[in-house]
Amino acid sequence: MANILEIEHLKTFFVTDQGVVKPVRDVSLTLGEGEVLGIVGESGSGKSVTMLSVMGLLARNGYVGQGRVTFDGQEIFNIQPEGEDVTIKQLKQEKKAYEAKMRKYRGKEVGMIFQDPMTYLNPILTIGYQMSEGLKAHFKMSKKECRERNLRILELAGITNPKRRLSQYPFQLSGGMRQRVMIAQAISSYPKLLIADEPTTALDVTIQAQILDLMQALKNKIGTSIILITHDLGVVASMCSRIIILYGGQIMEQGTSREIFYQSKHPYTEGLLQSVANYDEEADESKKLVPIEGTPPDLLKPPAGCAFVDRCKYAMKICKTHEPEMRQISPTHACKCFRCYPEVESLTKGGAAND
Amino acid sequence: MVKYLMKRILMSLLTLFVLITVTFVMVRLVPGGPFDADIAEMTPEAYANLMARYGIDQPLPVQYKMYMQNLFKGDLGESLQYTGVEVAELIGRGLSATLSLTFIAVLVALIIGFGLGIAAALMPNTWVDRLCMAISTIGISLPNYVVAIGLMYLLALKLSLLPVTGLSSPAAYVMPVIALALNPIANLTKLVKTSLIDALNQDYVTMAKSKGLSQVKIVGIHAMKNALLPIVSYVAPMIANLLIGSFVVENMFTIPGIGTMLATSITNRDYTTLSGMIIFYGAGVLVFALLADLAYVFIDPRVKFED
Repeated sequence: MANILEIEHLKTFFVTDQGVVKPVRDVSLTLGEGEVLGIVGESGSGKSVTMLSVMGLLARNGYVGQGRVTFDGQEIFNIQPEGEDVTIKQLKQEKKAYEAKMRKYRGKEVGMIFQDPMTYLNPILTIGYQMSEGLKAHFKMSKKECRERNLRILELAGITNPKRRLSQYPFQLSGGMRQRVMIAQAISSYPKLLIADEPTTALDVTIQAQILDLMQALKNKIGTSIILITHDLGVVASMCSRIIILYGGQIMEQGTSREIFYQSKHPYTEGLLQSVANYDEEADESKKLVPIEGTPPDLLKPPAGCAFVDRCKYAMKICKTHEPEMRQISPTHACKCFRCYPEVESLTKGGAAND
Repeated sequence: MVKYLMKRILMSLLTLFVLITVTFVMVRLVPGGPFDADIAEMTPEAYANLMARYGIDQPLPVQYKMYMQNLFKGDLGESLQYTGVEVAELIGRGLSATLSLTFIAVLVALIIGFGLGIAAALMPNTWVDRLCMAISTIGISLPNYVVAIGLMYLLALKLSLLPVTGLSSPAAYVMPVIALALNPIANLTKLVKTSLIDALNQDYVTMAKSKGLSQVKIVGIHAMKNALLPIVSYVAPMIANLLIGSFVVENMFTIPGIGTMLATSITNRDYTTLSGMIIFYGAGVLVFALLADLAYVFIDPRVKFED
């Protein structure tokens, strides 16, 4: 199976008044053709910025400091600064170059769905216009062709009376309907990759399920790969074959859905799983939701050791000073925690090393 | 939408009515009369005849009734200063000078204001941005009569590049247009910059970028169309203000426009001309406000579908 997207050692930073913020610190991932990958993490863990970096959609003050990205076998960028003396000016040029390169892929090979359908659709342009723009820009489609394609896609997206919708404005549609329009807009070019950045966060629960079903159905119909970014493990459980757990701009654990849900190794994953509401079980005291105490690390001054150390209930002395490496547990399962080191694992069996 | 426009038109007519009434009363409350200058050379009988000829001897309510009746027929009355000349004709004489001046000033203000504003918005925190903001700050702080005097002193008296007064040649337009347009340029630059930056930071712009659209389409359609909403509500009164602002500038450059006539009619207590001119200005302001409302309908669909 060929890889549609490969990200190697991606590092992104933002230059702000307070200093340099590093929201993505060495993230590598691959996405196979037809695969659905879930990227999970709480707010500020770097999920969205990772994908925005790849797409060339970073804000003015954001730069990719290092990393290599290939899309469908084509290299998008390969930024490998030598030494410390790389200047912002150089990175700015790199950014300009790859953003221009990426523009040909955006809206054609890659479709994006965003969080809030209330604000991501332009309020004063018609649905039809907004859906046609990308098609006109990339495929030079005529008005009639655009219209035919749009009608078909809207129908696929489960929108009733699509003809009327084309001439309507976003404010005339309900929230769920708008999200369907946004999805329709993203898939109208039959992209190879669909990036969904928290597509259900702004919707109420019943609509959430509908939208997820829709994405699943569309995936099968047009055969696209999907990257689903979310903070909700419940959302990825039903859709994703593989899951990446992101924290403090680093991958903490990755594996198949089964491995993440049933054999998770990382304390952070454990914390995330405990904070998912489970309606099947009876609500007794022991089944209460357990929040992860504390807040994510300050990425202005990333911690020297493990990013999760301050909130980890298993934290050891070494975690404060040394960063654990990613350790492979199975061919598909890897975890970035000292507790996964075979030599440590044998010690913690008795619980002795826990101080 | 029809309802929306009808409402605006009715409101405008009501405003115009109030304006006419207030003007009528205030003009006549000013001490002195239209023929006071020549009173020494007239017999009391002649004076009384003159007053009766123009109906000024009547009590105010009667005069008001007569004036409104004539106005309704489209008759602004006869000038009290220039015997036998209709006020409408007087306005017509000054109109071409005033309108051409205002039109050029509006055009210059729009082109330069939008140009500087867009440049500053697309290149924030660069020397371009800082230069535009410097021009804007200067333009906002200088009143047009100061600009006019400064320009006259520098360009006309010291350097003798341009004629000091009148509108006889294209070169003569330069100074009055700058004096008129500088303030709107300054305001427009600031407004266009902030509105456009605001729009560019909206989520729908990210969405537009994610579709791989060109920078021109993103800025020109997605951002600019949204940014236009606050700008339109400034531009309409701006045009009206330029029309009125020409009052000061016309007088300074002695341009034979409506502004100069208005000034003369005040000193002469030319009641009918003064009223007519103010009504003309007022109607101008209202028309542009109405045009702004109309423009909203075309830019923002939410207005169109509002009940």
